[in-house]
Amino acid sequence: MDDLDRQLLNEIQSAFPVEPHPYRVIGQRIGMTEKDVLARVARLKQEGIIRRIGASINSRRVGFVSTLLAAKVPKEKFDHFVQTVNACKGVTHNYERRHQYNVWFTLIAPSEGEKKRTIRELIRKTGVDIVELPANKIFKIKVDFKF
Amino acid sequence: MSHAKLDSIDKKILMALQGDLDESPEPYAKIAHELTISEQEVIRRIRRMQDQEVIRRIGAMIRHIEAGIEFNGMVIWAVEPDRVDEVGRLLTRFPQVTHCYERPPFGAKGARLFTMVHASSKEGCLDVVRQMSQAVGVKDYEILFSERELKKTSMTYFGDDE
Repeated sequence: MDDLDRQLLNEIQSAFPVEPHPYRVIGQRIGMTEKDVLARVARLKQEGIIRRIGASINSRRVGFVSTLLAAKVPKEKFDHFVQTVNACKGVTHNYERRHQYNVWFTLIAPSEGEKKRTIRELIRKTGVDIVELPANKIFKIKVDFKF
Repeated sequence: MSHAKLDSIDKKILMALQGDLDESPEPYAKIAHELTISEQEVIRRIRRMQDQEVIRRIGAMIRHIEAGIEFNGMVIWAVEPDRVDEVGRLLTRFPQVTHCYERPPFGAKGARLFTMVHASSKEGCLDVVRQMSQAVGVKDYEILFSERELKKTSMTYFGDDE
């Protein structure tokens, strides 16, 4: 990544224009042509740095529920546990962490009932207990990184 | 937070935006064409859904590990119940904090505040956490470093079955 890539990432993460020519507008802000911006975006996608360009949707506002789940997964059950959890469509993030509770993942479901059913199923299929830690209050969600 | 009122066109627009926008120079015109409405209508509806906080952000979703921000730590803070609001708000001021939530008490110390801290080095991460601890006067915290990213995707809220 060069300096122009970094400038572009800073702009395109959080200030993507909702106007007819978004890439042209970004280019004007950082002194690049529309064509250059599009070419760099395509390259950054290819390199795996940009995952996608689109919207981050507020799950609660569209009637979904989200939660954080944690489990103490023993070594011998680890691979099966991860496979089973990751196969779940509503599991969007999953991390192995250095802690007694070594697997932490998020689950988004269309209803409270569906969420509970999914958790019960995961416990049944994996034989591992899962602790649920839903947010009581959100203080901040702002995932834009400064490059 | 209550459920926003959305009609079928709104949902179709969200269906397009929940994935990856086409690499066309005019992505909104492309959505408009598919829905046989005008580009202005698409733009107007997206802006409205931003105001309604249905859309939190439009832009590039970055794989932070690939982009060099390799260390993420989940930091859990044991805070007395009557300080949760104050401490939670103070912790959000750190730009390295991407998420901050109050959750049910967790672990032996009953940690209630959960923050995600991102940095390009482990030392950088530890340094920010020390500053955070000092700023809020909370010494009871634990950092759970991520060892491995096992999954990272975006949710598909609206499918063809709707």
